[in-house]
Amino acid sequence: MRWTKGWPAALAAALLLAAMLPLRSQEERRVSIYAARASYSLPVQDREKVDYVGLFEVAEPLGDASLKIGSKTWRLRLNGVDCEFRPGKNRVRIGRSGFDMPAPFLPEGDRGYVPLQALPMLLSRMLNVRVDYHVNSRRIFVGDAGTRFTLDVKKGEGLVVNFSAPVNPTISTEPGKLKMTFTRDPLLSGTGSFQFQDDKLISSVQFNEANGTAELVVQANAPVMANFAEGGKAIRIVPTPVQAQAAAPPSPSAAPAAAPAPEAMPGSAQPPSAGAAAGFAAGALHQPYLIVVDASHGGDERGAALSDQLAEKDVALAFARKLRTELQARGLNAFMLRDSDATLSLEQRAETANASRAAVYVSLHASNMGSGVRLYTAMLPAASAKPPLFVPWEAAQAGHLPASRTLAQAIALEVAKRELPNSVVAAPVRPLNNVVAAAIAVEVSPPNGQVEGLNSSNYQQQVAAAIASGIANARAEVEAAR
Amino acid sequence: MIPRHVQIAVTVLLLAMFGAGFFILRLKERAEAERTVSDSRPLAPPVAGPAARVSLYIAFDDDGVIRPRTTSVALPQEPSLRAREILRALMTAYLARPSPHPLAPGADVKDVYLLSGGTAVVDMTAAFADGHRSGIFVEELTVASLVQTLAANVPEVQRVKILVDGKERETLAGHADLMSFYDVSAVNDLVKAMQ
Repeated sequence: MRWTKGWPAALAAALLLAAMLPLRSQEERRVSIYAARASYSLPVQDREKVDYVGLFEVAEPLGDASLKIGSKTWRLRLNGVDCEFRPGKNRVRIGRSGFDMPAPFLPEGDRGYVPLQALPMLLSRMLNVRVDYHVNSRRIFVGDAGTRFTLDVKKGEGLVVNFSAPVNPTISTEPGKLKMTFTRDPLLSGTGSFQFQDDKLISSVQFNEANGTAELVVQANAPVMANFAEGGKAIRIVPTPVQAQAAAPPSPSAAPAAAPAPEAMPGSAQPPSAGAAAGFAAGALHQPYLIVVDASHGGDERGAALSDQLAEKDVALAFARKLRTELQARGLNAFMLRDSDATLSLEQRAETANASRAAVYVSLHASNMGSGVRLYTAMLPAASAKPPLFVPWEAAQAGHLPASRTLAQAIALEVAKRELPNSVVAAPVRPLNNVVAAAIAVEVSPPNGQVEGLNSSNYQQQVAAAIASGIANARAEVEAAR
Repeated sequence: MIPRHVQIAVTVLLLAMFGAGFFILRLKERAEAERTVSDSRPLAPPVAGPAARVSLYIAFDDDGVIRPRTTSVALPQEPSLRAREILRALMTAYLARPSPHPLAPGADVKDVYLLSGGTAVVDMTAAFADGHRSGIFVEELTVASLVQTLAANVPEVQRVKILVDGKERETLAGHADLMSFYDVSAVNDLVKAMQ
């Protein structure tokens, strides 16, 4: 029988698949620590079925921390308080007192690990503040850290979520559901579920905590989208405009991912998921001159540490929002790949830009090196005169390099008009190589060598205006090359 | 009755003993504290061979340029080892203080593999990438300087792949692509533009 000949191989394949599935689905376990000085998330390590977390990784963001590794003792000093650990021992000494941890201190090379269960007591004693630990979700609140929210339902029109402090969640949507995930915001709620039985649009809001994050899940009876308002202290959940659902060419006011909110923070929240990209692409097929604005880095990937307080991902996002506004002011369609602190892979960025049939892709970066604006095009060998039938992913940009260089020169001209230092060179920056459109990366340095200048609204406006003008001026050449 | 001068001498000796003990303890603590995280021990014994003139393409952060510099390096006969020593000379220039383009302590070249068809694979230490400053320009200077130095001294090299600690890595420090092969002619054009 033919079936019997093949069954051992099929069984082996099934067993292999079954063995792989749990590995693939295993999510990294994390603990989040929220404090007035910093909010951060760390991986949890399993050591003989006990959860551990890196000692110095916990302490460093909380203040002035130093670690001395001796042959018998590890001494951590945090904000002037000394803490002494002994490898393999449960006892920890803090100042003149001490306590017993539920499991021993573990040194591994230059890293020391403490049991997760001991962390609240440890932080409380070292910082001399109250510490709350949400055990099941692994969320630790130090001192007064905590953001609360209220829900305000506008009958049939949507929902306003008001927060006690600005928030920056990752937002994703699926049919009938909008999910806001708070990784770095210390969101708290005394209630898990909010029901709105009388409302035609919003049916419920669920607050969940798990694996170092909190999330608000809005169940709706129609497609909804989220808009930030009041500088991030409010999020409005409103019905998606009908024309956007009907896959009509998106205008700046109709596309859910690109619609600017009328409030202080321009722009709306957007999902970083592939679904969002696909949804946008469907509406963007007929756009003649669409500009995809990519704020580099985001989420766990901070980019360059421009200063102790300033991360590249935040400066890039601020520049991107300014650029979108400037582009829209010139009547151009602009779409931001991320408008929140979302993590996007380089592949996702290129895929979304390509799927949206963008005419122009602009990747925004910031640096504390030098001054002015540096413009980059992909560093690829010259493309052959006759383009091949299939283009390798690594060299997808090759056929668009002339248009990219034209675009970069047009922007450099505008930057020069504003008397800012500028340069145009090739660079091996991903994902420029993978984009099938005129694609450039812009690295903005401080105007005068002072890194704080990168945060200046005037400077950001000036640079964004120059880039937008360059993109507008190069339109004819870029479109001719498509 | 113990004479007064003996009492004084014993007291001074005791104080000196305690002082010396305290001083030794502090020295020990300081030595422990200065233990660096990264392992900066040499990866391979120093090579022997006749000194030869090599061209290093040095990046200068302040001016944002890459300039050639000729220096003398002891080079072995084996081509891969020669290539490694040339790149190590470049690393030495960057690890000197003051440095025109500072790299993290422990940044080094583990190996260079010269393959057929003009491909070179450069394997760098983890400290090279882990401690590298982040930014398009600063990462580009490092990569272009490495590739151009290798190509200038090993003319048969046409493309270069950079590994970190024997593995592929997506970017150097968040920007410069390490997944692709570097085309020597494209890097050469870039370095010319940066001189």
